Amino acid sequence: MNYLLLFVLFLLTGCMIAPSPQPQAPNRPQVTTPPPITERSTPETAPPALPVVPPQPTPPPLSEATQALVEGSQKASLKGDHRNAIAALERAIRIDGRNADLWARLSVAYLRDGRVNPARQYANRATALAGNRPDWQRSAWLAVAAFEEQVGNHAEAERIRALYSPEGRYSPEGR
Amino acid sequence: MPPRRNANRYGTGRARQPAPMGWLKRLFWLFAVVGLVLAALALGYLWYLDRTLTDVFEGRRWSLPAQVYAAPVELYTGSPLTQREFLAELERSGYMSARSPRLPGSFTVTGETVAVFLREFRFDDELRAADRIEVQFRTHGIVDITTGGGHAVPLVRLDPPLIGSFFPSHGEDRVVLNPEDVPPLLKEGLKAVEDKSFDTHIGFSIKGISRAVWANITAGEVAQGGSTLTQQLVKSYFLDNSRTIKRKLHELAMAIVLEARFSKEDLLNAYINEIFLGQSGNRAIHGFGLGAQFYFNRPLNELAPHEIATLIAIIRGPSYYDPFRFPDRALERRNRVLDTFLQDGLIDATTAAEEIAEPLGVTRKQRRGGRYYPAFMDVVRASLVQNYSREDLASKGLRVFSTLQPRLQESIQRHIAERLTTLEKNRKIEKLEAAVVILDVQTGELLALAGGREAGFEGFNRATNGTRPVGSLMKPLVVLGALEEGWQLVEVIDDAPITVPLSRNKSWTPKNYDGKVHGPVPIVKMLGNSLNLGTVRLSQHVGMDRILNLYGRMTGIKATNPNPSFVLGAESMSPLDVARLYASIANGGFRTQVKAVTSVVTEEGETLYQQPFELEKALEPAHADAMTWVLQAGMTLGTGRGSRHAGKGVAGKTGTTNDFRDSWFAGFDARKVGIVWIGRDDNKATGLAGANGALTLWDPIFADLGVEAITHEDDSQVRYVEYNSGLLAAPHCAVTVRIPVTEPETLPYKEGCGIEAPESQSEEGWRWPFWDNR
Repeated sequence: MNYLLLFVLFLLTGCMIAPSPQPQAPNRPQVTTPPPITERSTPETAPPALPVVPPQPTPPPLSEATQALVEGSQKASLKGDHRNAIAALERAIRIDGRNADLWARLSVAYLRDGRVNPARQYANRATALAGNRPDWQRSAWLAVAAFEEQVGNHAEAERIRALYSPEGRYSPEGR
Repeated sequence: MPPRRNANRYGTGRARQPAPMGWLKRLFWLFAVVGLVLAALALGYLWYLDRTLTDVFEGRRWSLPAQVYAAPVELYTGSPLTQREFLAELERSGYMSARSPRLPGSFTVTGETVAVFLREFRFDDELRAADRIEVQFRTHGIVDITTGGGHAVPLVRLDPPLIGSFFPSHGEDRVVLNPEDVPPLLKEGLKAVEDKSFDTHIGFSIKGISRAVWANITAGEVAQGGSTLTQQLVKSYFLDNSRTIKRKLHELAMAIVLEARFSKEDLLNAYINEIFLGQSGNRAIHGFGLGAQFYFNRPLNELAPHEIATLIAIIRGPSYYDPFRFPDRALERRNRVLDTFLQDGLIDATTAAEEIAEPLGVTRKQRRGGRYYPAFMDVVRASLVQNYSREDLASKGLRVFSTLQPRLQESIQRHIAERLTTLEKNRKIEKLEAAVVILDVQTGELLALAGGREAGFEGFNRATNGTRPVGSLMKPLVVLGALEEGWQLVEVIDDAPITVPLSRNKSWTPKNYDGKVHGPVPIVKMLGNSLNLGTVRLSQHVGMDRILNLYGRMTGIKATNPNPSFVLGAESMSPLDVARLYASIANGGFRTQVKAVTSVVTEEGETLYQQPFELEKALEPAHADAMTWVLQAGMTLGTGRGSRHAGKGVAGKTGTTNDFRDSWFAGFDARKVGIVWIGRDDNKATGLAGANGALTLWDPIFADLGVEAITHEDDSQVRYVEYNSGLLAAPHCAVTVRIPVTEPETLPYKEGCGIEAPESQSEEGWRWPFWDNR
């Protein structure tokens, strides 16, 4: 019952804060200010304007092949071999390039390798690809949180993590 | 006694005759001095030779051009790769069909299963050991992969074919082998055929020279050379082909110096890496490593005795014994070499008989180890020269991993040749040219690129350097600008005559392709049917600043023609830049940096350079998605409706320029963006529009590559809309397309067509949305 209440509240809140389409200024510096991250930098406007769908069964996030590559990447990462961790995820993306989870993982792998700019690009890519899938939304936004943490936006990172933690309102487990 | 002494010294007669011993002494001293001078000169010469030879020899011994590899084929359960395609990939990588795959580089087909013994290969991220796998296919692709021991394998890579190398400007290409990489039969066979006393001589062989002289006298012509392997090596390294005494003496001295300075093993290995084995265009094939790839498309250590014999046979005259041009002559000499192997006990009689019975087996040219994709290599080169000097690329043995998919590349080249011939024949046109670019939608990786009609031609690259007006390919920018301004795709625009004022009292009055006026049309149809008047009118609402800004965001390029005619494609672009423009729509709004190189690795396996996927957000994902829906509609009901893929989930846009000079098509599916340009180099009219020119080439290419329908993650805002009116309608009672709309309850609907009017609209009925306001 509590979950249902939370869900309804969330729907309402989402509707209220959903921004109307705003024409972009022609000279807006797209390169340095990707909307999914910067728009969320004001904590008082939480939560993010993501499409909301009722809970539904989601297909497994990874195929057998991409799962094997993700595991390979994790092993490399544990050994501190970030370059091979990245290479394995890039192989996975060549197989399944629309998978938001893989882009989110790639973002985190680049962060671990100390390369912030690609990490930002891939976190954005992940959020764009996540669509209606709660599991993808979660991994994509947690990648955004990791990026925010890395660049010093600790509060923003914390806010996103709270939303997408297992207990948070955006978590698939939380629904 | 003193006077006598004087007489002897100054007197006459007998006393004046020089003593015989004195004369001899003088002669001795003369010879001694001359001898010393000559010896000093000789020593100086040898010292000079030693220094020069050692420097050059050491420098060139391991001088290795960068090798460029194609993208490896990934094999995994669920891959759409068919058995036929897989076998073609194996052949391309030089795998041999065998009764049983017992050795690396071989495979066996049993029904729908292919057993492969994979070679060892050092990828950019790992060393993959040689391993046996079995791959099971069904019609739709791979269903299972197991190891030789029966364990399931989630995925495995095929070693990628070599697609080229950066040999120096003097054109010598090579694959350097270490002594342990060289088959013993080649080492011993070379000595047996070319230099029997190699292990004992000091650089030259009197016996060998005498034998050659005798053979030449009896033959009445130069039938045999007396050069040792060392002399041949010297000749290959340092000298020209002239046959003068001076050059021969020079060669002899150099051979002696090399023998004194280096071990026999070093010299033999240098010979194996150096000797000239053929010519392919401007590229000289040096060494047995490259020779094996050039003639047999396989690594040297996988060659059979008769193939090794062929390579040894070629040494004597790479042109005279060219196995492609003179197979009978080459076969005869190969068999003589095999006879020598037998006589010297290198192979037994049974093997000799079996090997002599084998055909030459050289593979047709244009395979592995070649510069066969020059247009693609242009992009690779452009990418590498930013980080590496030409010297490094030509000598450091770098291994470059590229994004090229040879299967796609060969497909586009084949289709270009076929399609242009058909178009020329059917339409009585001449000298058509084409350029094609295929990018991976998600990563921006360049999968294939054709710079012209002739696949192997290393000339002007129309895909990268040929900039031509793009015609209607530019129109989506106007619609994207409108979406950013808050317009909807169902909104109606008037396709009516329009005159746009330009500077200095000039004006521009565009016309439609068909010369007609189409009146009020929804934006989705305006773009789908590529209507010029409506597009120009909409562009006036959107504003040129926004459109040019969009162009910059999506391509990273500044427009060169920022006039109103820009929106109808007066701007010239290369097919590669058009690919970037459309990729940014296809991938959900991210500008990609086209990438042809994934990594550069040293000979020892250290990664020097790894190129990340370059993605920069250029559009709101919702706008890119909406544009994709519109371009899909254009393929169903608009100018792309004649495509064989119409209605199969592909998106695309035709483009035609004034007087039918350029015929364009830009289209994509879920995985690939494909750009096709057809026109003439002299910019004369072809009579081809986008739909009956470039699209007819894009179609078979995409059919060959396999079309994967575009999926939209979020279609909650998507509605059926009547194509002609922009009214919400049900598909059973109107010609509709599916496009995203916002606030559908506020939009007009087609009465009596399955849509119930919201109460707010019921009294007024439908109206053109926003018509009066715009």
